[in-house]
Amino acid sequence: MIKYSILFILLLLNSTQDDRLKKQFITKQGQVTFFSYTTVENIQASNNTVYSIVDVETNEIAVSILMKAFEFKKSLMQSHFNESYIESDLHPKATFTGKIIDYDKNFDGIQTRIIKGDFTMRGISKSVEIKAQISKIDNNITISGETQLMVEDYKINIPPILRPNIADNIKVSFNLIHSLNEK
Amino acid sequence: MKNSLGLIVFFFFFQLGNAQSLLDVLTSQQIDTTAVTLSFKGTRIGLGHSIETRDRNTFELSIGQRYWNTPNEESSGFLVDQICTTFALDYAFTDNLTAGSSISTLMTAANVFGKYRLKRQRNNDKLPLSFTFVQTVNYKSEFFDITTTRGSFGEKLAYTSQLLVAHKWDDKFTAQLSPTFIHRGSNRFEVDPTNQFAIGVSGRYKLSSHVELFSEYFYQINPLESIKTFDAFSLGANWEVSDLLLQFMLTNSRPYSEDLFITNNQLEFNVRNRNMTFGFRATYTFQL
Repeated sequence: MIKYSILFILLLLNSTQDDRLKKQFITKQGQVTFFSYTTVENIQASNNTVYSIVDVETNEIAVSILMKAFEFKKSLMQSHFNESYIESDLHPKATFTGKIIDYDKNFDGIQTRIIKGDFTMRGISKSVEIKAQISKIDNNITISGETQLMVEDYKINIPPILRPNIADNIKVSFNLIHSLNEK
Repeated sequence: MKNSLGLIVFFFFFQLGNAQSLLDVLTSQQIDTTAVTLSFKGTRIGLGHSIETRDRNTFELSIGQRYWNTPNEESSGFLVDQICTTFALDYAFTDNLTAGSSISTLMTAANVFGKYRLKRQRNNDKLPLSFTFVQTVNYKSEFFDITTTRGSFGEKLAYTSQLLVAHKWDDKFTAQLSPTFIHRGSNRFEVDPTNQFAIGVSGRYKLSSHVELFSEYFYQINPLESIKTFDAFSLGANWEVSDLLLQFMLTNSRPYSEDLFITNNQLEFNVRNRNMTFGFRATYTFQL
């Protein structure tokens, strides 16, 4: 009898595992681009291999960004970004974990929602609120929007001589197209 | 009953596994296989080449000088009695292929080289090593002595082939091995070998994001027979100021081309006058 009940529990657990996956949407090719505008120089870099996952049951979202995957127009800039500013060997990833406030999973159009959470870069976590457009089309959940990050919040060390070249406020835009997590 | 208990324990942990955060789900799938970058700050460590090449369409313009005192009484004592200068221009045709040329005053040498990155070390790599091949050709226009001159053009050339192998341990420490083969078109004395082998061992340690210390040592496997030579050694620092890389070092080696500084070095590394040489090199990098 015990054996049968255990088998039953096993099946039950297995089905909850399946259910859990049905509520998770993932992307491995999300896009994040940042811009730094100053009178001296405009800097832009894009990353097209951003990992992001959304759970529509709990409205939770997590994003993981490999810093070395940011591509600059000039590779010299990319070297400086990784070596001197972000220190990608020490802090290879930036992450975001948060919750979409008042997300309606049954609504099929575009919803504008606030995502509240913690953004961690160079080992420093800051709570942020990001306004994002969330749409559900053909079982894909697209989250896009933009936000701003302060350079000094993440203790990015910019030599005084290069201070005019890099903006205090970095504009970050994102476009994450999630599909059902099948793993 | 024991089996059932085991199963329950298993399920408990199974459930724990399920309870992992969304970020853990991502972390378990996102494996970093990006190439390791900037194992060394420059394309030269101090004396010799590093495994580094610059990315496509990058120019490197550099001026290098080495200073030393003469042991004479009238020496200035500021390491500036004598000087050897080099001018060099490198260009990266692709991310993996760089070619360059230089001229230097000591032994009046002109040097061309080609450098190709065979493999880059990657994160989570099965073979976490970088390989770069360097081929240099050096032309010496100087006379052997007042009465004997080198003959044909080919006799004035020397060829150096190096396989550079490096491993970057962490963000600070990198080590490099440089097996080297040198072939000379002519020798001053017949007893000297035309083909010589050497192994370079070099390392760097990053002190801050802009400064690194380095050291190099070149062990000669079959040195010249006609004169007493010493293995080349250097100890120094690289300071990166945006697109400008400044190198400062102490060494016992003066010439700039590989065949000369590795095999034809008649000075021991110490602080006595004539031996102690101070090297400086400024490299400006710009990308089209």
